[in-house]
Amino acid sequence: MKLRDTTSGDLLESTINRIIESDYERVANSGEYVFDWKLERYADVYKISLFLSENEILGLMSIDDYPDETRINVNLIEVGNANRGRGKAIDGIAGCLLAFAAKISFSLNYNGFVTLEPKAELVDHYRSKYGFEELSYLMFIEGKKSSALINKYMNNEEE
Amino acid sequence: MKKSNHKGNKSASYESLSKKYSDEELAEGFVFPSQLEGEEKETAHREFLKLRMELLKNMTSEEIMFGELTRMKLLQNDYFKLDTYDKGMSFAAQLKDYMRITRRSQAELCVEIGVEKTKLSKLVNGKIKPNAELMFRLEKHSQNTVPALNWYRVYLKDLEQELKENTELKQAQYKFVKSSINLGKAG
Repeated sequence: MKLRDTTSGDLLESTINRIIESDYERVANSGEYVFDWKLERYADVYKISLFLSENEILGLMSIDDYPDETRINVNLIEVGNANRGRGKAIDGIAGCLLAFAAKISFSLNYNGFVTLEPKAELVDHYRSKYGFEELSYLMFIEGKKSSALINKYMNNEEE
Repeated sequence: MKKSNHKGNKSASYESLSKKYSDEELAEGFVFPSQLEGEEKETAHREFLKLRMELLKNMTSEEIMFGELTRMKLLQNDYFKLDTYDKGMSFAAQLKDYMRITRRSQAELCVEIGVEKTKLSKLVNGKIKPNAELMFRLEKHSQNTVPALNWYRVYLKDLEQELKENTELKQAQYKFVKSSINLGKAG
């Protein structure tokens, strides 16, 4: 999984792992996150870090598996403060997390079907940036679009 | 499924964060938690489910095949990172799985990729080793969904295991070595 250093343009190898209990306290005390991630304890929460600096959490994702609906739902994603907005040091963190959700969906035989509930103002951006489409109150991605997202963010191939 | 509630957290709201970030920047930094609750959510979810079931019902056999082949490729990619060997991930087993997913009999695949029947039979039974030509043909056959490089790496894992298990050859070859380099206490 590759992230990009916004200054040098270099690709940075990253790793995504399930969060461990002690991470919740670290996240809360880091000053990098505005959401209370302890509230996500009931869900599957993953953290993304640089391969060479696994202690530093760059972003977090909470997901749920809905087997009866053959989908993975993204409950919450938050990229750490240092990597948000114009001054961000590293690019592609949320994309990597979404690609990881798509990979889980494929592995469960859901054809890469991933959903999220968008803020109305962000619908166009989720569509253009990641390929999500609207379906009722949710947005979804599946099949070739999910595969393209994985190739772009996890294998670093061009779309 | 228990749901979290972030509603009381004003600094984590879209309204608050949008003062600092543009919508594009927010989409690159956040997926916000669900806003719907109670009956409103139930109604919306019922509507979503109806559409979701329709999508599932209308999936074509090609879409199903693509999903299963992508799953195969991703499982292979995870397998390559492991130090362990899994017989179910051998070249022969993966080739059989490929035929199951693409719903091809041996006879059909032979015709489609231009390989002799007896050769393909030996490949799926692990009696002969695959070559690069076959791997490129399988790549093209899957429309690049399972690349030749994946087939090659699957085969490499087989070779690795073969080497590890070949103690007879190891002992026989060791006998040819008349002297080794001197590593002193480090050796």
